[in-house]
Amino acid sequence: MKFTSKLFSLLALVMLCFAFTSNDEGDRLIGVWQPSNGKAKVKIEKIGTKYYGKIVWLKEPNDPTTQKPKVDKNNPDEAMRNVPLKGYRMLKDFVYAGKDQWNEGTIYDPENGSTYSCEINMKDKNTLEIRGYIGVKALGRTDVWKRLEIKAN
Amino acid sequence: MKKTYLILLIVFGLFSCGKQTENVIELKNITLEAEGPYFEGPNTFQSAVKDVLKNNNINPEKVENVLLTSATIFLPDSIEDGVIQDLSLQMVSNNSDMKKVAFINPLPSNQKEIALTLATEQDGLNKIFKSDDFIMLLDANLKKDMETSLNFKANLTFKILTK
Repeated sequence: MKFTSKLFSLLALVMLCFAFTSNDEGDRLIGVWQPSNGKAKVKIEKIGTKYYGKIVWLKEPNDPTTQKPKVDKNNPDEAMRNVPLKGYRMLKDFVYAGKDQWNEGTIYDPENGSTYSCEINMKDKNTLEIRGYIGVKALGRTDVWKRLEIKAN
Repeated sequence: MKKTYLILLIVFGLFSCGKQTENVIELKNITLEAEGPYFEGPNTFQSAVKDVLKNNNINPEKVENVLLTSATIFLPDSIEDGVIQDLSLQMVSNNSDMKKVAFINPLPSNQKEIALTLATEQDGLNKIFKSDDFIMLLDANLKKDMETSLNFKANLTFKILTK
């Protein structure tokens, strides 16, 4: 009886350690990243148990036509077309699946107002492969994002 | 005669089954906070909201639709006019996707009480409400770095349809 109880305690401890390790591993995604086109910088943060990425910098912050800060003019919801692109959460709802992969999320392309299913794979600590797709993963496009070093003052 | 009563009873039964009840819930004085310092650009302020349905005696299984009908943000007294460029409000829970529900861009000048523009598409709010707790997020786009501590207050009204 004593042995069984000890075994259960040990198992619970191992599972708890695994849960914490797994959670910490997922946090490696947190940071500031730049897509390959260099047009934006995206800050990935954790909210609750999931990961989100918002645009924190734009190479061309102003709309060439209006000369005002760019807004989400292609949003399918007309009421939301005046939301600024700077600060926009373009990566949403990612869950860490283990083995350097985050999935179940979406990526929003402000250039056409479309949202795609998305999977993130970390190739090394400074490189992400971001694959956006519709329905099947095979039908998609992969972009490589690089981590940006934040300079300390 | 008996048959007529029976038919009437069935018709009445069907109508009462399909009838929806409208519940109006007001969440007042929600504090949205984030640890400073804050940097120029979008900063996220959060608040954890718990047991909304339970506290209003609404059975989560009976919720059919949730709609945000008004959202008012109260700016901190310490913030100067024009420092916040825009605000957007999101909701999320651990088992639902994040939804952007309201925003304002630009902020009206010389006002501390700001009524946000509501999203027309609010599908998915019922899933968020069915969670025991969820997170409210306010993104405030600041024109400059700030070191003083900030928090925002929010008053929100939701219309909840139950069966």
